[in-house]
Amino acid sequence: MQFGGGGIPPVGILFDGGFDRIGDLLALAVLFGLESKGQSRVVAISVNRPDFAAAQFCDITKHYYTPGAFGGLPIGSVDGKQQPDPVYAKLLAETGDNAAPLFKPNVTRVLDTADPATVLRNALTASQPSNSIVIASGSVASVSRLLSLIGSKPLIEGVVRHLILAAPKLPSDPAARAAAQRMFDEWPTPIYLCGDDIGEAIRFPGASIDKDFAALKNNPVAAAYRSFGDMPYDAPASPAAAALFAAHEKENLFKLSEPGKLRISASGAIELEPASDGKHRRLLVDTAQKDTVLKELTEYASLPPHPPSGRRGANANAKADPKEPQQIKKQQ
Amino acid sequence: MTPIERKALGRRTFLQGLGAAVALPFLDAMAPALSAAPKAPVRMAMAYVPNGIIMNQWNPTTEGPLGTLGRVLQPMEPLKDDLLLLGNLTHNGGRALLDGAGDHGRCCGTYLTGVHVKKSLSDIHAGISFDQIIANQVGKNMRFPSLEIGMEDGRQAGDCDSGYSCAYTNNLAWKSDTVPLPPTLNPRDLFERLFGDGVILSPDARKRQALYRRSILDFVNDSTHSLESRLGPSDRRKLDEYLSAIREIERQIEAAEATNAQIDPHMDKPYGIPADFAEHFKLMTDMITIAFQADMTRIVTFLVTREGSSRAYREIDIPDGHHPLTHHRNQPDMIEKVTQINTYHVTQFAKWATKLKNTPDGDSNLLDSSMVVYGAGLSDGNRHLHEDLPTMIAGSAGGAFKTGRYIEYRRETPMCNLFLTMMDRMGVHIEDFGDSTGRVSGLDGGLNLG
Repeated sequence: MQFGGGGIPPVGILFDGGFDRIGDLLALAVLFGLESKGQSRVVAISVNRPDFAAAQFCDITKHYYTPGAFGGLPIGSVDGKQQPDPVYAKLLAETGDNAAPLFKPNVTRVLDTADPATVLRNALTASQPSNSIVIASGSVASVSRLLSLIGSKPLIEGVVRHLILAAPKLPSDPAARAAAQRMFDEWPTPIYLCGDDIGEAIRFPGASIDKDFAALKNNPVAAAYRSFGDMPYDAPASPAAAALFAAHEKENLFKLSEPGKLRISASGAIELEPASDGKHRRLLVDTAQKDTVLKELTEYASLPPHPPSGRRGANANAKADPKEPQQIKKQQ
Repeated sequence: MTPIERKALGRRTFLQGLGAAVALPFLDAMAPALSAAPKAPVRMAMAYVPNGIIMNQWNPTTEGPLGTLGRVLQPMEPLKDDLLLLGNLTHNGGRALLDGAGDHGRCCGTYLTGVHVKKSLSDIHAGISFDQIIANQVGKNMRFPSLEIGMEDGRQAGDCDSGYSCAYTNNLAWKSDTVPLPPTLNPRDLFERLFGDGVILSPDARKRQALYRRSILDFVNDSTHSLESRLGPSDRRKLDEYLSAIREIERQIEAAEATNAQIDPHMDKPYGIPADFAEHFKLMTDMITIAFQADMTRIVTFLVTREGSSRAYREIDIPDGHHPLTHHRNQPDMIEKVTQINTYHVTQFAKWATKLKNTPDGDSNLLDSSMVVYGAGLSDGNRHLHEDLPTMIAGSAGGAFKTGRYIEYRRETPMCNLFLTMMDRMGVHIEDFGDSTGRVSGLDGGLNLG
């Protein structure tokens, strides 16, 4: 999370997801692939549901892709009554040669994880100006809480280029919906909605798991993919698309809607109310770019692990094109 | 100050004489007739040691009731039932956060303020420390709203760590964003603050005064006799013990001054500061105990040695500097020496905590009435880590804390959450402080929810 090198490092991505669908793990695979190419950095990962096993699996994934890295922030994980997804229990119980666990977690206690909002906030405090992007996949509770922490709003305003909501899921609780609406209204930088329609249009090809991941021994994302559904299947990839958009915004892989303001309808759907002064937009599929998006997703997701280049973690000291942040800003 | 001729003794009664004002401990005569002694007030002290701790000799391995303590904490073993050990508290503000080197400068500036201090030698900027927020409310009716005590290096300017002003490494308490409160280092200065008329004398003036003065207690003799005549046997005994303790401190200061006068004038020790670490520590903490006992103040910050200190500990045959040793690069001999220094510090703290426990306070004792935090702004001094900061609370804050336990919070739990909880205990309730995200739970024995 901290870097001592000169120059502006690649944009830092904070990923907060429910991890109750393969899309979130695919997004992590894409993000670590982008990191290995020096195009972005994964600076925080959190699970926005009370599922400790999911947090363990996130940590396993992180260590798979960045072996040897130490330090940095712990995985964020919502505390409380556990709602375990059975997929992770099954994966954690799998054994390989000599009956050894195939996926051995370093995180063995809930205490070894952290409050998601605190992880996100602390990651942002180490960010260069306008050099972070937050992706909230599923629940928006963590980012709502992040915004409510003391000093967070000016911090976000200073360092977060934008928030991307990937296939958001709102709870039925009216208070939680009100909190989500408040977050939409008060979030100080642009918000992009990468909805379920993106996931329906852009499905990660199950065939890629057998083909592109074949050389990656004991890859946790591939194993999870096989466990989340009956193979072969193509998984909705909104979170992975959000990850690609975050790092490659300037490539215009997606179309953008006119600006508006996000509103939660009476039925609980998130709608974009047109407003010329709005800071919110919806990502739209660009049919001309769909194949490119799928190609990039599969390529980045299946890149091999990369050793850390700095003592604080992967690519901590990597330098980005100094023009990049400015170019991206122009497009906002 | 309340004159003694009142029939019922006021809590703020002083023994007064020329240039002296000696506050009193709580006496039975101060309680209204036929009523129980009032509940003792809660006192708070924050004791800070520099350069981190050898953490695998500090943290217990399991949560819950304290078992055998780690080697560094062994001196606290007899006081185990009076302790709370807290794990995983973090000061994110102490981290580099793009400011590069200077973890020692940052961590001390952050410790009580909770803010990421400005890297500067002249334009210093931190934040009000939480002890001063309490002092502004609780301390306003005290003789001293707070006391700031230290034992090493009072420099307030210059570069003490990679571009961080010495103001950050040499102070714990901050009155405001830009005004640190330098600690009192010299025992005589502290003694005269506590019992004198507010004038700090020069060494020469002290020598002249010593020619005719035997003890500060001589100046309050008449007042003492007058008071004694109105006290019952129990109070007279209490008063005698209390005044004897003050006299003992005075003797120790005089002995230190006499020793200093005979040694090499080029020695790097100001006049009157004992060369022996343990002796200095005892003097300062004896006076803190008196200040608490007499309710002169309820808030003390104690910078045991400055952050980044390179003090050698020849008292325990360690001639190497503390700070260089902590960058041990996992060399066993260096780790062993740091462990010995850590343990030596805790040994002195244990003696102080024992003294507090042996000092009656209302219907309990001073340790029970207090929350005395012993901690550091770094955990691993070798790697300059700002998470899982070593944090020990001695005392139950007037019975509010269920002691004898190790509570481990979730990682990244802000240290400022503990400070908010401590402020609550001192009767000061605010919403946020530093980078707080809430309050810590479980200190009272309830569920630990982080």
